[in-house]
Amino acid sequence: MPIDSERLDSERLDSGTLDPGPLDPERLDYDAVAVNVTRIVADLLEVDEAGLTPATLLADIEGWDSVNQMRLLLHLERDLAASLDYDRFLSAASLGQLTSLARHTMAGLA
Amino acid sequence: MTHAVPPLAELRALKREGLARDPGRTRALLGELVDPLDLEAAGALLSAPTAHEQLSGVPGLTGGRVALLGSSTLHQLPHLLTAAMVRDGILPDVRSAGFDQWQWEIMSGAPELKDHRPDLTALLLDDHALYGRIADPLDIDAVEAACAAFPGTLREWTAACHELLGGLTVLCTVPLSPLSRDRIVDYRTKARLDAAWYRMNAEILDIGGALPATVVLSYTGIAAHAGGTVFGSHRMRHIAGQVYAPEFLRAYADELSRVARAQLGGAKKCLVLDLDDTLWGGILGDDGLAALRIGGAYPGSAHQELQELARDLAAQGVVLAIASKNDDDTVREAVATHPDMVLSPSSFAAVRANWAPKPGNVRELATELNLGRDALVFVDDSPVERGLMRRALPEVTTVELPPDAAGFAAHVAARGDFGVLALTGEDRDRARLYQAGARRAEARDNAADLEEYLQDLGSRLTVEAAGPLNTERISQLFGKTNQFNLTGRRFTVDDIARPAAGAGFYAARLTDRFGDNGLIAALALSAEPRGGWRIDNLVLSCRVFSRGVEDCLVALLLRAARRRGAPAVLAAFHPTPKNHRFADFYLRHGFIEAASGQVASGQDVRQDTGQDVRQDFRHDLDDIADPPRWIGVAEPEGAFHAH
Repeated sequence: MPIDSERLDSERLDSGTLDPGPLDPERLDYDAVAVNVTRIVADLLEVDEAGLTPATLLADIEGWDSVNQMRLLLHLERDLAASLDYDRFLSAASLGQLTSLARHTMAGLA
Repeated sequence: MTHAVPPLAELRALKREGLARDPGRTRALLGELVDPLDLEAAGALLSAPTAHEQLSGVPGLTGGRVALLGSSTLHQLPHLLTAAMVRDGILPDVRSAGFDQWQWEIMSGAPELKDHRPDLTALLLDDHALYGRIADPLDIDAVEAACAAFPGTLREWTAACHELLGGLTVLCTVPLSPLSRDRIVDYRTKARLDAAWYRMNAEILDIGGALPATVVLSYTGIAAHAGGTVFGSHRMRHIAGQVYAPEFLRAYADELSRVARAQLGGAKKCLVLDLDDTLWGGILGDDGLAALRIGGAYPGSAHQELQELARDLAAQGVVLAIASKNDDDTVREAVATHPDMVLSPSSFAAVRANWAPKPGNVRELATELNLGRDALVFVDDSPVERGLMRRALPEVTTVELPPDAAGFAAHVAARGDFGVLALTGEDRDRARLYQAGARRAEARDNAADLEEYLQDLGSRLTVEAAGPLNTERISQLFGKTNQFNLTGRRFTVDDIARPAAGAGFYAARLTDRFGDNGLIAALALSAEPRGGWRIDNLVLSCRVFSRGVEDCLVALLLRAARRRGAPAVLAAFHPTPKNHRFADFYLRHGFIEAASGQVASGQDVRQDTGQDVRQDFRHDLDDIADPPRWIGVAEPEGAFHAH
């Protein structure tokens, strides 16, 4: 199944428990990765999380620019406690692709 | 402090509700953020136009304009600086020149920054600023020559920057990156490079003393506050041209915020100290005087270190006070008689030792010392007392001490709450001035009535024009006086040393039988086109309130204006968060309110409130009150003149 079409766990989003904390690499929680990536993007760009889906193109988010792209890289890497593959980070066009990269990084596949 | 909600998330929620609803909470949350990425995110949040709007005009937040220039990518810096400054009580408007545009921006007349009119312009360079001038980094002769020439370049740049933008210019020494040094294989050449680099940085540090309105920071001092870190990851340097580590930029932003606070009059003035387990180890009431631990082995050494810090702060003008839960006489005996005390009874301007809650005591201390509560810094080892103080008196700066006394002194010193741009003789004498103040208060309590007391004081006032010896102090008086400050307008050393045509600056000195109070008032005067005089600002130190000094100054000024044929004296009151007590000052001195049309506009009045609610006054010089009888004036006829 293509990762882009995966849906976010909307129940988790709605329940208000938006901060699942740092991820435990021993026990990969893919939903938590998606929630974290979405939250980080929403926070950094100050947009409503509810308006973001895996299909959302980063370039379409208000305020997206090269400076915010660098900020996002730093914040994602801190949250994942891992270094992202820079080429794949640059080529991630949608939120779904970004989440996919984060998951692969967590699984040590990137 | 543990949080159900992380501070950053709470800050976002607060912004949605409107930050102005609880600015104290906003500042407290910023104080809890340590990680530079969190602080940067908080700054981004506060820099957004909506947040800036929410916070402008909030009491306790002074406006300030900052310009940033550099040779590397500094895009995190404006946000970090915004977070640090709001935390420290300043709502900044930050503008940056483009990447590596520092020299071009100033050489071309500051197209990006000129209309910003910054209060403070900061330049942060990296070694690219030097190596960009050298064809071959291995040509050590060329490197030495470039290092020798660079301070001159920076000096010229600083002078031009100051000429164009005014305000304060803040430079920083330049770190040599490991790669620049490590590409050299022999130790002799490495040593020559280091030596040239140290000499260059030493000369850069000298620029601060050579040029007016210039502060030079040392990158090593900033790095020490950043855990030793200077440079960021090599990947970010390659990806984004970002040379400095976020930790270093955070520490740099903290330092800039302290400089801005010193410049804008927000430096703290009084250190309020707890005793038991803070200034000494042990509990006086339980353990007894003999068991107290000061000096000797740890932890006594740590408490002694804090006392030594307090002593040194006092020597530089910080007022010391005690707030302790103890019996008053026991405390006074312990301070006076314990052989290992570094501080003595005369070190303290006021003591509150009793069993009442500390916030009430600290409120009384502020009143007794005639200081704003936001000029106080409270140091107490007990988290409970600190929490109570924060809740009851959020305007007091409550220091979050580390759990181990070993770090008390270093932690209090590193905060830099008492930083000033340049120390004056008055600062060094302040402890003595406050002690004389205590003796005056005693005389007042013994006098039958206030006028008898004032007569008995034998006050003598001398008005002096600004000159090389008092310019620094006059600028400081305008900068640091918050209560009796009638327009809030600040003047830099440069403004005072090179006044506009028709303008003049004056200071007044007051002596009495208890000693010299030093320069206690400053006045900025300018000439109106039709021959009138205008008071651009008048400030009076809170040390001499209630002695009629202000009445005397106004009477002298009005007489001087009449004698020189001026048709009127104009003045304005501009409300700031602190000066409301003196809103009717000019009315009480025979001025009448002038319609705004009667007063020439275009004055550059600092607007701390963000709202134009300035009131204009004029005095037609027909009926001038006499100066108070109890103040003698040296040369009353020659005191003031506008050209």
